[in-house]
Amino acid sequence: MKVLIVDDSRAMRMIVARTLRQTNLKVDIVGEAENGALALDLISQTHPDVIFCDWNMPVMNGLELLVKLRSEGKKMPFGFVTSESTVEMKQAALDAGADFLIVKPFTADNFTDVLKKLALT
Amino acid sequence: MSAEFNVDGVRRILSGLMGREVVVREVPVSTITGWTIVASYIAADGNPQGVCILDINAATNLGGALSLMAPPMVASATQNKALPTNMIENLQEVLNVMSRLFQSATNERATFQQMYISPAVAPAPIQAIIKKPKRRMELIVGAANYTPGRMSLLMPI
Repeated sequence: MKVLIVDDSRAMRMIVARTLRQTNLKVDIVGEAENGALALDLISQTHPDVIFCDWNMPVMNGLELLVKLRSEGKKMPFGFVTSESTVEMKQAALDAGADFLIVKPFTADNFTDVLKKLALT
Repeated sequence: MSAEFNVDGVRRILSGLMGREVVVREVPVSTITGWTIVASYIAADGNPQGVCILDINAATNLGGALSLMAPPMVASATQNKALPTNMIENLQEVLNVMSRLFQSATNERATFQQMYISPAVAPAPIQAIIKKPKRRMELIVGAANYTPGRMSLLMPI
């Protein structure tokens, strides 16, 4: 599956990529972006099967990116990987059309679970 | 107070983030002196919610361990008290993920706000927490292959 990682932290993008590889699933990381605006360009170019996205980012945050994608009719699975997970945030994510929310720190099992639920394995 | 504001919670968060065991051990209360990093956390209403203080060993250990930096590079940063840019970025991510520790029953959301070198340059509300915390944890933390260091976790409520 083609995965796009969006996070303003280079370290966290690396950790998400490493954890995806640890799932032993067939994962192809087609791109990394440091904010939602850059991710939009990459999504058009790479057509990922699933997007793992941080919530808080400069320029365009994760929720704004998701809203933009859904408003354009792009329905690819989209999930948040975030250090915060209040009830309000979870609801806002669901309302905007998110498919999953993973709280940092995470494990390969967390990633495997959501990818299996999305039938992407 | 967060259900994770305890030694096991800190260990779980740091080990989970690093993808390997991080030693976390409680030590008697004492003020961290010398070179320090001070991280501030705020609640949704913008009020200070917590403070994390690291000495140079803890800062370079956690910042280096996140991306598996070569031990000599980490040792050099420790000796020179100068963290390279990528180590600072790593450390900011560690501090960001640690925000969960500072959630409370009344403030479900705690956000990593800023990192200061030395408490002296932190704003007054942060210094107030440092001087008189309501809750505190004094820890030794460290991932293998690097020198462990001191961490203080302080909460105003």
